[in-house]
Amino acid sequence: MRKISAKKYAISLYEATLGVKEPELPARMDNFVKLLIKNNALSQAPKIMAAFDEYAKEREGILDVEVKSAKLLAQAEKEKVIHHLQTALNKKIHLKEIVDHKLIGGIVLYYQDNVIDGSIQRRLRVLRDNLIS
Amino acid sequence: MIAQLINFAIVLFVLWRFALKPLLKIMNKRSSDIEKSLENAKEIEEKLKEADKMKEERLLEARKESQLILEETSKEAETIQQEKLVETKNEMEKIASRTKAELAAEKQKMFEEAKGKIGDLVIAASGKIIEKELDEKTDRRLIEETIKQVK
Repeated sequence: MRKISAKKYAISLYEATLGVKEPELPARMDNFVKLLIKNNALSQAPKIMAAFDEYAKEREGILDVEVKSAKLLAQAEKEKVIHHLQTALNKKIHLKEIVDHKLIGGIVLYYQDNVIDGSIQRRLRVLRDNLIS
Repeated sequence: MIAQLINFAIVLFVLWRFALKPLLKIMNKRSSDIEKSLENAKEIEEKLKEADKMKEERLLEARKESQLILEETSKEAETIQQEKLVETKNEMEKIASRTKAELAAEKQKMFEEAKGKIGDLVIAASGKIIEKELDEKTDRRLIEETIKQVK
C-alpha cells in the first residue's frame, strides 16, 4: 500500500471535522485514530497534528506572528499592531509576544519567512558596523 | 818415418774426430747460443723500452684524464655552489616577504580588533544612555515605524 503523507492525513482530518458540532467530534476523532492504527501510521501523529494546525490556519486565513519587544506591550499597542497587520496582510492574526530586554526599544516582527527588525539594538548594530568599516 | 807419419795421421784423425770436431761443434753451438741470447736480450730490451714507453703514455693519459675529471668536478662543484647560493637567496627572500605579509596581516587584524572593541564600547555606552533616556512616546513611534513596514 502506498504510504499516505502526514499532510494528506491532516487535510482529510480537517475536511472530516469541518463544521462538525461538538457531540459528534469525538466519534470522528475515534474513526481517524482507528484509521491511523489500521494503516500503521500512529507514529506519524505528531507530524499530522502539526500539519493539521498549519492547514487549518491556512484555510481559515490565520497567520502566526511573533512580536519581540524590550518590555511587554501595552494592550493599546498590541491592538494597534494586530489591527495594522490584519489590514496589511488581510489575515486573522495570532500574536505571540516575546520579551527581550536586549532590544532596548522598538519591536521585531516574525511572520512566515519575514523578519522586520525595528529595534534599537539593530540600529545600534548598524551604527557599530558603520563605525568600524 | 812413414810409420811415424801414419801414427801422427792417426793421432791427428783421432784428435780431429773425437776432440776437435765435438769441441768445434760445442763452440759453434755456444757461439750460436750466445748470439741468440744477445738477440733475445736486445729484443727483451726493446720490448722493455716499448713497455716503458707505453707505461709512460698510459700514465700521461691517466694524468690528463684525472686532470680533466678534477676540472669537471671543480666546475660541477662551483655550479652546485652557485645554485645553492641562488636557492638560499630565493628562500631568504621568500621568508622575508612572507614574514612581512604576516606582520602586515597581524597589524591589520589588531587594528580591526581594536576598531571592533571601540565600536562595541561606543555601542554599549550609547545603548545604556538610550535605555535610560528612552520615553514611551519614542518607543511608540519606533513600533509604528516597524508595523508600517509590513505590506
